[in-house]
Amino acid sequence: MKRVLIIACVVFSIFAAILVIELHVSEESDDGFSCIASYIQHTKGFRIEMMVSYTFGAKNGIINLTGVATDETGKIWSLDRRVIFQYYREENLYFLTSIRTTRFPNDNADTAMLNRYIPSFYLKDSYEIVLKILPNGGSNYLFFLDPIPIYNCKRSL
Amino acid sequence: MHNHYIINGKVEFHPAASTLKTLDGHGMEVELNSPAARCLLLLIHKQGEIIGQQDFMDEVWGKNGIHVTSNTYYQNISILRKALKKAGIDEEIIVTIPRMGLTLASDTRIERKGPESKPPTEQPPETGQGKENTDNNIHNSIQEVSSEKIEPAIVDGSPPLTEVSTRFFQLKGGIFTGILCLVTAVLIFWFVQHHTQENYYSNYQVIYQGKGCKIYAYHLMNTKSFRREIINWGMKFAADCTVHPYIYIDKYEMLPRISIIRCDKEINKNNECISEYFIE
Repeated sequence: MKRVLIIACVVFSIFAAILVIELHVSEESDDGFSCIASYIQHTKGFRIEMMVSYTFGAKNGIINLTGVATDETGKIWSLDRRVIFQYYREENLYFLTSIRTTRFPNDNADTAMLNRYIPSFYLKDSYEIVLKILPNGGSNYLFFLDPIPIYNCKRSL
Repeated sequence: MHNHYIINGKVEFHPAASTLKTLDGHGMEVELNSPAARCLLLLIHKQGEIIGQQDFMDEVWGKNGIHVTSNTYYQNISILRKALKKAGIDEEIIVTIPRMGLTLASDTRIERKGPESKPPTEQPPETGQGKENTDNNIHNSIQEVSSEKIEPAIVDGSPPLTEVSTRFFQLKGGIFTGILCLVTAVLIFWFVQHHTQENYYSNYQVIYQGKGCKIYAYHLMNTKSFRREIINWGMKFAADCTVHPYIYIDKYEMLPRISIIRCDKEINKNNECISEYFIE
């Protein structure tokens, strides 16, 4: 009986320790995460190809959009923008509000033109967007704006 | 047949059965509880020696992993004395040596019966090794008693407190182990649940495999034409299947959007993917 008790205690202690570590790690990751996606959007003849990176802090975050946009005529624009946002979260739903959007000097894309293809949240201040973000095994997150995934975002440091 | 002992020619003591049997022709049997029987066995094995309280507690209980108070010890000696008297030994064969312990009275006659019989009085003199052998014999015999029968004795009609407390601790230990097991099971369940993250694509299956590409789509697709349409979308990227062979396609008939995620490994692995999103 004593032996059984000792074994039970040891097993229990090991699991308790794993859980404590696990909880600690998940608490840390609940504070935020960063990920990066390689994204190509096709809207009729207009194509946007960019790297999208998200950094979620505890309440705020940053999005970087870097790439090129190509119109029907083959004209190419360079994209290099940053969005600073606030957010809150309910389960897998993230409610984001853009606080400040920044265009870097090499960005020559016309915002009004881009706004026909990209939600205002990514282009202008004080716009909202709701993203569904699902962890998807490994170190991936799937981002949704509608019922189907927009992109697979790979966890980054 | 187990070893047994005849005490003063009047009573047969069977350690394995924890009984005292009167030899007066009536064959009356008095049951002892296991600890009391082990106490008597220890006294018999160490006949001629004074056995201290601590020795009893170590030999009778401690070696079985049970820790008892001195009250338990006194109670069992009392039970043993009453049982011996009841079995027909009127003389006080268990003698208390104040502040030292107990011993069998010097005029007590013990005859050992049984297969390996060698009366305890015939033990070799107490050289180091001899004493060790004696101790081993005692321990083995006591173990035999404890393994053969651990039942409450009925000497005065009610189970002795020692057995009740032992059972209480066993019961308590059982409950404790049960609770530990239950909590551990809950923790394991929680842990598994927590780690079995739902994979969005777990219900997707390969609908086409060829030209180095593996096209995955939701397994409940309605029509063959829709399936063909999905494959056609996937095969637009066939040229890149050497690098990104795993193609996951999402398309609803009523939704004018298509999501195509192309990866170098399966979607739930540590991979590199390109996400293509078509707005029609």
